[in-house]
Amino acid sequence: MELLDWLKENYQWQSVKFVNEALIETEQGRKRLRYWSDKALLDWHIEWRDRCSVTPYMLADRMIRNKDQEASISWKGGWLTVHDEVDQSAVVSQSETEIGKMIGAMVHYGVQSAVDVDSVPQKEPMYSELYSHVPFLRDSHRQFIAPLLMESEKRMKKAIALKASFKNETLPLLDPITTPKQAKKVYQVLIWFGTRQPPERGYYSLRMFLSEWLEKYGRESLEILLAGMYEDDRVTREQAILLCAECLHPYELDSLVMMLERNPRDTEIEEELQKITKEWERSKVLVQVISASIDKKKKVLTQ
Amino acid sequence: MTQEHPSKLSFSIEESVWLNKGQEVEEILGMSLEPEIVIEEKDLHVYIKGGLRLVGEYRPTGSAEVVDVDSESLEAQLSFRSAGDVTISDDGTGEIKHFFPIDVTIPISRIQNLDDVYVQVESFDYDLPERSCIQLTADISISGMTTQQETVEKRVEQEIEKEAAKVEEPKFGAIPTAFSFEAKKRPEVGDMTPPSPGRYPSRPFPFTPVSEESAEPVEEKTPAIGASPSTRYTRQEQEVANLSSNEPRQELETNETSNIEEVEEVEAAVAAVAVPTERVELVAEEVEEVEEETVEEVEEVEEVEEIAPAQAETKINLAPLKEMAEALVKAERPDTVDDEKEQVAPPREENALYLTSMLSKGEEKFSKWKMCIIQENESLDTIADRYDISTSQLVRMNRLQGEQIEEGQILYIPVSVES
Amino acid sequence: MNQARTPYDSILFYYDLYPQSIEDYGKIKKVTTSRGVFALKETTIGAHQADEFIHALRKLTKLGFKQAVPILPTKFGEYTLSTGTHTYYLMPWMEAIEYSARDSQEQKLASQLGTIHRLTVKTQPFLKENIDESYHQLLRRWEMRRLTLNRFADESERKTYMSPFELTFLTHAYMLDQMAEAAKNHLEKWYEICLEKEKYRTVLCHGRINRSHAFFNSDNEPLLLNFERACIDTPSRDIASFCRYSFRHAYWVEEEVLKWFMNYERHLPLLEEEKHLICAYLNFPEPIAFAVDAYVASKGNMREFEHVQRLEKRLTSMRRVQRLTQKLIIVSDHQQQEQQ
Repeated sequence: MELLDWLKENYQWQSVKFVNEALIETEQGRKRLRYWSDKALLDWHIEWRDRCSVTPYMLADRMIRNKDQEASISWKGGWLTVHDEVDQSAVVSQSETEIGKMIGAMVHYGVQSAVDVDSVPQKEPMYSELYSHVPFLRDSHRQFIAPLLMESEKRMKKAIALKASFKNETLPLLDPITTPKQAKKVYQVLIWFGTRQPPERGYYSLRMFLSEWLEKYGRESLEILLAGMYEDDRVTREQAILLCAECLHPYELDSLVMMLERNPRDTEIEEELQKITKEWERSKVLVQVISASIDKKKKVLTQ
Repeated sequence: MTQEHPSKLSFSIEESVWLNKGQEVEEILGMSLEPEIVIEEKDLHVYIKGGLRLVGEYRPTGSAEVVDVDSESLEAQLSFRSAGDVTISDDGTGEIKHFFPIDVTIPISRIQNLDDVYVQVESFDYDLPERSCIQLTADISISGMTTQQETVEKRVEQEIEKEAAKVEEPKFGAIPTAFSFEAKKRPEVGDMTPPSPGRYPSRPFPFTPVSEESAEPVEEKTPAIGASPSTRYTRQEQEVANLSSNEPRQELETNETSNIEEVEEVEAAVAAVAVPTERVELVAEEVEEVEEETVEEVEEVEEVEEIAPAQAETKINLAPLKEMAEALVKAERPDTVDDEKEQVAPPREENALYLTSMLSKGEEKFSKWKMCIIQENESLDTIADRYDISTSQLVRMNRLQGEQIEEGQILYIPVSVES
Repeated sequence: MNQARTPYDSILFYYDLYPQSIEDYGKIKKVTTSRGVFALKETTIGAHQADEFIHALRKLTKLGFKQAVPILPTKFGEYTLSTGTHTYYLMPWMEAIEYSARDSQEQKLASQLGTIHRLTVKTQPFLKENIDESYHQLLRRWEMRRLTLNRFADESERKTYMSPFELTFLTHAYMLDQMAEAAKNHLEKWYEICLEKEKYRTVLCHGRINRSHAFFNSDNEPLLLNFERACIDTPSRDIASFCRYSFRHAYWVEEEVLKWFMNYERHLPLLEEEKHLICAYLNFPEPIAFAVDAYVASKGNMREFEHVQRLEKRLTSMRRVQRLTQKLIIVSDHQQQEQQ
């Protein structure tokens, strides 16, 4: 059977047309098709999308059910899912609270869910590889990097100390959503576009997300978002501290490590160092904002 | 090493510096030992006063290991510096400051020319047996005295060589960082470009010179200290010394009357050394505070000296101890001139450790110590009697294996303090 | 986008409905779209209760019950949407058709109630603690109510000048107390019989079945809606609630009410203790207690006159209930004898 007919039959649409190979136009709007070959991964993605929402204002790009209320249909040895598609990336800056709540819901679910799906191993910063490069760098670069390495060690230690304080706390399993661009608005509904990636244990991607949020929308906006995240107490203080620990990880130098592998020119290094300075600063503010929000959370609790 | 030098008084410092919790050393960045000495002549004696200033810089493992998640403010604990802000001066580098006071009185008859008297740090090394302890060893010599005795030199030489050997197996191995890597690669420390400029702004690099030194004569005819092999240590010339001569030390004179049996030393050579200890201060930023405390300590030291009557004409005041602890090292000199070699042996390592660890626990009410060098025919009993202390206590304090003691061995004698 | 329409636009997105108009009918919003007209229900029940209600409804459907207004799932497969404050669900829009059958609407509803109860009836394993707890809880609650009513009567009596409301109440205080006593006796009977039989039955209760919660189709058959208060409980409760809402539509005519019971029992014959429990529920003057509470609590909101009017209406109802239930029990006793 042709795919379009198969979709018509399953979703009981009158008219279905391809926009491109992954997009279709139906009388109920534009939908995105996703193909899955790993059932466990698919199930995980169905589950978190179903469980995490800020009804009715925000939801994930959930799987639209077919006529039998199934979240996926089989297709060519794998599975197809149908999702809402939103073209325009909406201005999400007014929706900090909802997005924060959404993240809170994801963290809450991610901590609790016990699924056997392969997850991405946790990442570790690579800065220590720089030590072997440092002697061969120009003095001015060395002058810049050496103290950063020291500070990196310090950050790493603090991060480790924080994690050590909550050894028994489970890190959440999260869909690696890394950018605020993945939130779109349609009909007053924010849709949070998830990925097809294996889930990630911990806060690596969320940190990237928050960092980008900080860059795009500023500190105040991030504070509101965090407050939204803590609402309902779905994100515990412990989890917030673990998030903070992740933000302390000095990943800023990673790009440099990779760059140095391929003998870059001095100007390239300089550009990279400038980039690092910016990112470093952003991480600093991020840690500040998050730790301050944790302090605030504690104060509220102890009142 | 030359044997024709007329006379030289050598002694070793072996000292453990214990650091407070939370200030453990991650990596030693640099360390130097600089003599700050005033030499003056008065009443037929030459007074060598001042001390050795140890200045070290280290990277603390820092408060990072003790993040308190229950604290009211995580924000303060977790903040870190901006990329541009991290510099050597304020990056949390810990500073170790320790002043080893030296107080030596030498009869003028032993000195041919005052200009020939130098205090030199012949070798200096440190080790990091654990993160909260820095172990220092240094050989100090005072030259410019006449003596018939020559073996001293040999001994000193030996020690120096020993030190040098130690240093050659690079200590850096234990401290793996890019910087140490740098240091190894460039042994010409004196004029080496700092691995990261601004990092060791003017600080001498402590390690490599030792080997240099052992290759050169310990003492040179050139009176200028600066020209001597151990260039890396800032030489304090008399002018500098004058600065520190402000420090009140008059009561030292009382020591002149002291009169002791021990230490076979060239007549006139070193003897009773009342060594007050400084507190070793870990200075992160508040250097000024530290200086104040140092002054306090010095004052205390003076008291100590009053308490302990030194009888030798010549004395060395050597102070090896650490924060909180004060040691009274007393190497007493026999009045009968005994033309034998100096025997100020370095105290055993364990002793240093023991002293400090014990003191820091405050187990006993000793805060001052005398150091006694065992003479021929002396037994534990005679020492115990002299200092009015039990032999068992001596055994315990010095961690002796039994009651057997040997000539030349150093015993620590606790001096209880009423406080 | 019209801000005023939130959250309905957001809610309707879950159904892929993009409304041309939304008309407000109170708790029901009439949603007109290109794909048809729908009724969006907005209720204040919580997410948990919403789950239960959907669960009950699906169970009924599974058991073959077709006389319920369907609830349409969202495109993600859920039947309700709960926000922090409200729960929403969607049904097809239904226009009321003029009812033209000879039998009363209540007779048909009683039949449906019987059907639902028959489909879901379960004899529960006897747990004395459960029975004890239900019994004592209800008894305590009624005793408190009775005490409140008596206190109100006492206080009113001490006044030199009684208000019309107080006067009206006092006039009937004795009768009300008698009814409370009768309710208590019926409840005791239920308890005794339960203990004796060592079992009791539960059914899926609609919770608030009455003609306003049903649409009658062109065949004059009811389609039930508003299962929001559905729960597992004794059939007596559902019947008592139905009676209390419906007596007035029968104009208190005994024959009509008896027909309801006949229609019901055609599906599920009631047990003696269940009838006692119905009588207990009906006899207890709870509506009067509510009226007195309202009078005491919010004199300012309603005028004295209105309070009195409401009280008198309810008193009349209670008197009629008293009369009806006496007959009902006799009939049931009679039936019991027949059955035996």
